[in-house]
Amino acid sequence: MNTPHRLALALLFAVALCDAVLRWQPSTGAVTPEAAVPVQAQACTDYRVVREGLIPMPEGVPAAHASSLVAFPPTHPLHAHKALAAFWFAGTRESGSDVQIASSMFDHTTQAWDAPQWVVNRHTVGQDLGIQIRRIGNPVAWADARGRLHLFVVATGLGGWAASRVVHLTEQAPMQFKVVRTLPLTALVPAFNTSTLVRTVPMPLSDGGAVLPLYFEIGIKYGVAVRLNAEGEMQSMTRITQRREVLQPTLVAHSPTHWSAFMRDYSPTEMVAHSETWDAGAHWQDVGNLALSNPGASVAALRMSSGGLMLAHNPAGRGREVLLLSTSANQPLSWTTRTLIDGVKADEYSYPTLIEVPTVTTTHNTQPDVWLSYTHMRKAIAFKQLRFNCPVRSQP
Amino acid sequence: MSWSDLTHAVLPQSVFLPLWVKLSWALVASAVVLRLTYRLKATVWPAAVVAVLMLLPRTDVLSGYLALAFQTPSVVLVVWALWCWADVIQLRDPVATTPTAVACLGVLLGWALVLDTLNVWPAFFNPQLYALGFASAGLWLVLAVTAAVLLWAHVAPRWALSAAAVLAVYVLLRLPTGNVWDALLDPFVWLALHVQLWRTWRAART
Repeated sequence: MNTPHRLALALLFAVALCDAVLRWQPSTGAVTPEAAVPVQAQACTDYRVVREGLIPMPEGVPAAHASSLVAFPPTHPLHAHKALAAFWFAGTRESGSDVQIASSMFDHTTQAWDAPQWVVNRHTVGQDLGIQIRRIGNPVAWADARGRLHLFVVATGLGGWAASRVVHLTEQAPMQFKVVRTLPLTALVPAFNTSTLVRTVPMPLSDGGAVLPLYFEIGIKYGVAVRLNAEGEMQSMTRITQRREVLQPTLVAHSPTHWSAFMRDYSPTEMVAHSETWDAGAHWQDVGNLALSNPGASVAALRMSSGGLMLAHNPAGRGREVLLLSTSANQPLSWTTRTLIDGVKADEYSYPTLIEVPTVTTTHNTQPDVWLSYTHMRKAIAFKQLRFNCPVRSQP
Repeated sequence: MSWSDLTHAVLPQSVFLPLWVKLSWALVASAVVLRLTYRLKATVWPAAVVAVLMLLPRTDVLSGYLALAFQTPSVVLVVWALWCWADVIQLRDPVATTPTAVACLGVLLGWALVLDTLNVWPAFFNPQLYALGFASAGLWLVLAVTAAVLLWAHVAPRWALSAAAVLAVYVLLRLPTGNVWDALLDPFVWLALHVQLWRTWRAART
């Protein structure tokens, strides 16, 4: 063996050592972060709509779709005045070159949505990344352990939605976002790190991080879960299904380590697809379908503070002209469905998002309100505020 | 140190990414121009102009458009581009130094990543191959294979040092994506390895 070969071997050894040193982090206790779940386990199906309407649209903009909601955490600078923020994409049409991400905040004092503002456009995203961006689409919002908001936004390259990437942005000042990176979600071989999209809100973890659901979509479709740490940095990714016709997973935690993913079904079966993990996301198994139909439309799930589950979805047959809200006990799953909107043919009430937002009057034994947002006729984003009549049992 | 320290992803610093896009595509595109034009006329000027155009602030949209279509090149492709420039400057003939065994492994890895991306692994065997590239285990696998090649195969010194340099750049900067497979393979490198194997096979037949 000559000198270059010896040098190369020494370098390889140094590389292994460097990797271990650079990866080392002060231990935070739990080896695998678990889901942050409420201790209550009773289902509450007694709710009423206390507020509903349309979120104001930017002036002169005719199309809107794919909304996401985030509650301002107590550590956020706007928490004292604003309850939650909605983000959605808007422009002349879906996939239009003028599509931007719009946002509006719900004000505690006026009890109304503020005037919308543009928060992300494809030109600034492209400038920050050093990459030309053709279109932007679905946004997803999340608040990290420090209360800082993150946005995950679909951005397309050559090839339309099939060439989508997920761009990660963080808040630099309240509601001012700057690009961090394009998330690496598929290999350069063969896909040039493309064809992944984001749609539904992350599921919180006990360490302040979250699991962000994503999906691959180019002919075949499958869901993926990406674990984020408390600062929002990607930690790992896991495929959550062996199926190849399910997309837009939405996650709920039944216990700290037992989670479910419900997915939009693109197969002729037209049922909500279901997979689950028993080891906090390390391994996932397909467990068939829920007893709820799905016309190939996005679904949104929520584990409520009461312990029950809620799922917003459209039914097969009627499609997106009807929006349903199903509730179930945490385990076993047994759904009770209520019709929220019953429209007429060609109406569209789709792409729901569900989050819990504590009200000013929420106490330790009342359940936070649930806020639902959804696409209204592809022209605006609508919302409903749901209040529960069931007391929440005090924690021991 | 816990096991999770070695399995979590470490991504490149976001400040490096726009620089990497610009620099890597400038090197690769100029090397391609160099290889195409140098045969016609022994001058580096056309390639140098391409490199400068792709690095200047107002004309760097060229690298942005390449990234729009192809994201970023792998570190291996960038090292190939550097060798291309070095060969011309030092008046050497270009040579392919990738050992056939390594080319074979690269081609197989690429096909395995295709299966992984298309989610067609059988249910009883799902290696989550791309995700493995973020963990230390993926890097250690690559280090072990590289060390074995260095110890037991007769490889060119250039390849030995290049392999170590590629892995060092990956570990220190995590470029291009934080995933070791992306540092080693991109579709252009994968295609070139197919061509190399095909040529080796044809040469062996004759």
